[in-house]
Amino acid sequence: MTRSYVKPEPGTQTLKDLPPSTPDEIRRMAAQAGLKLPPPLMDELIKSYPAFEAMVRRLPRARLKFDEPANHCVAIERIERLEK
Amino acid sequence: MSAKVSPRAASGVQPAIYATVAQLRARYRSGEVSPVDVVQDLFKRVDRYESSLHCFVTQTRDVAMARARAAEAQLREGTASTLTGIPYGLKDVINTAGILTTGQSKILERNIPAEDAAVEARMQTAGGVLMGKLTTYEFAHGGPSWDLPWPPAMNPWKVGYLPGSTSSGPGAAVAAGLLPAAIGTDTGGSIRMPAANCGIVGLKPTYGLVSRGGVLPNTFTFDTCGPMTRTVEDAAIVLGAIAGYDDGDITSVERAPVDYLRDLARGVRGVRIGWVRHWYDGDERCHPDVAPAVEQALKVLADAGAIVEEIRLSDLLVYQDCKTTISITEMFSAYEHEFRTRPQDFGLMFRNKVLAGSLIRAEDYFQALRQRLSLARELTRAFKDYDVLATAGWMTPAEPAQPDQLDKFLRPPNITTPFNIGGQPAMNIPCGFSREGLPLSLQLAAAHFAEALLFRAGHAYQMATDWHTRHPTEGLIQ
Repeated sequence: MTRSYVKPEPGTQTLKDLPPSTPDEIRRMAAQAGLKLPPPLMDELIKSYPAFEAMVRRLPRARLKFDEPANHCVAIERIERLEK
Repeated sequence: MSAKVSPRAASGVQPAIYATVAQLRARYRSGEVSPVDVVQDLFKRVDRYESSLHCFVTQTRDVAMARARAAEAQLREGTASTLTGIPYGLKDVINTAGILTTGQSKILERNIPAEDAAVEARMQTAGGVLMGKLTTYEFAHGGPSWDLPWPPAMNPWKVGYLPGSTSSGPGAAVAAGLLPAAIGTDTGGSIRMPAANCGIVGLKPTYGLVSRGGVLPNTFTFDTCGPMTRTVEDAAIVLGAIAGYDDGDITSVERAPVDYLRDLARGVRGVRIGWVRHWYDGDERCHPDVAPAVEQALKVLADAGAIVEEIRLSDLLVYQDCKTTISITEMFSAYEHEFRTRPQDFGLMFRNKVLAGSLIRAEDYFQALRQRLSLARELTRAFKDYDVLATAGWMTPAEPAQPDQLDKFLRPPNITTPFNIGGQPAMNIPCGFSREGLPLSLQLAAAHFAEALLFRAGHAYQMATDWHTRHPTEGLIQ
C-alpha cells in the first residue's frame, strides 16, 4: 500500500471562484502599484497576469491561526555578524 | 529507448577532454598531464563548438592561464588543494571581481563587480581554474529569451534543442566536454533540469549549505548554488570545496565540514527509498520514455540492496503554486527599481514572468509562505521514514528551441520544485536515453544536510550503470 504524507489542509477555502480580473482592473492594479508601463508592456501584463492570478487564487486561505510562515525571521546574532 | 542497465565501461580511461575532476586530480598528481595543457586543450574545444553552443557570456582566458600556471607550481611544490588545476565555469549570475557579470541581462550589460561571490572565492581558494562566465536565462529566470544581448545556450545532444532551465550554459558546457565542472544556481530546479536534459549530474544542496553571498538574486528564500559535473563523485568533490559558513549570507548555516568522499563507496544496502511516482505518472503525465527509465533505475538501486517503497506527497501543482507565488513576489522586489525605471530593458520572458509579481498582495505572499512551511513539514515527515526520496529528474527529454513561448508560463509544474520548497538537497543523475537519443534523469533527494547519503546512493547507481560515460556527438557542430 502506498504510504501518504499528505495532511488535509485545515480549510479548503480558496479564491478560485472569483471572476478573473478584467483588463481595466489589471490596468488599475498596475497603476496602484505605481507602475508606469508603455502600452505594449501593459498589453503583455494584461495577457500574462490571468495565469498568475489563477495560481494565487488556488492557495488555501483558511489556515489554523498558529500556522507560521516559513523564513519569517532571522536570529538577531546573524544580523549583528552582517554588521561586523 | 535504451533504458536497460548496461555494464560499466571497462576501460576506466576516458579521452582527456572528457576526464572527470577525480581523473584530472589523479593525472595531475602523477604528472601525466598538466593544468596548462588541459586548459589549452579545453579552450581549443571551446573554439570549435562555442559558435553553435553559446555556452559562454565571457571567456576568461588570461585568468585561466594564470591560475593554471599557479596550479602547476603548487603541484610541483606539493601544496595542491582540492581543486588545484581543475577548470570550471560559473553561471553568469555569480559575481567575479573585475570580470563582467551580467545576469544575462541588458540591465547589467557592463557590470564589473568589485568583489567575488563567496562561492567563487571558495573555488579559487581550492585551486580551481576559472575558464569563463556561463550562459543563463535572464537573472536565472524566465527564458530562454531571444531578445537579450547574448543568445541562449543550445543542447550538445541535438541541434536546435535547448539544454534546459537557467543553468543552461553550465549544463551544455559540461555535457559537451568544454569543462569538467561548473557552478550553477537552483531556485526551482535550475541546476537539475539542465543536468537532466544534458545527461550530467546536478546537485542542489541544502538551503544554507553553500553561500549565496554575491550571487544575483532570483528568489532569496529559495536560491542555492551547487555543482554540475559528469559524475556523482565529482559533485561530491566540488561540494566539499564550496560548502561552508559565510557571515555575508544571512541564511548560511554553521556546521562542521563534511568529507563527502569518505562514505561514497559504501553502497545502498538497507537504504530506504521512498518512490514518488505520482509526481510524474499521476498528477502530471511525463514523456512516455521517462517513467520506464526511472523505474529501471530504481530496480538497479533495489538490486544493490536498497528498499524501495512507493509513497504519496502533495500534488506537484500545490508545490508549484506555492513556490511561484513566493518567487515572483521576491523577484519583483529585487528588480523593482529597474521595473519602474527601464522595464523595456528586460527580456520578454523575464518581464512577463516577473511583472505580475507587482500585483501580488501581501496577504497572498504570506499565505504562500504559510503553506510553504506546511509542505516543508510534509517532506520532513517523509524523510523520517525514508533516507532518500526518488522521482523523475525531469518530465521530458530536452525540447526544441521555440523562441518566446509566452503560453508556457506555469504548466506543467516542475518536478524539481518540491525540494526547493522544503530546502532539502536533491540531485539529478543520468538514467537512460529517449528513443530520440536524448538523456533522461533520475532525481534523488535526502534530508537536510544529508548530501553524503545522496552521493552514496548516486554513486552506487553510477557504479552499476554507464549512462554517465556517454557523450554527445549529434549536437556538436563546428
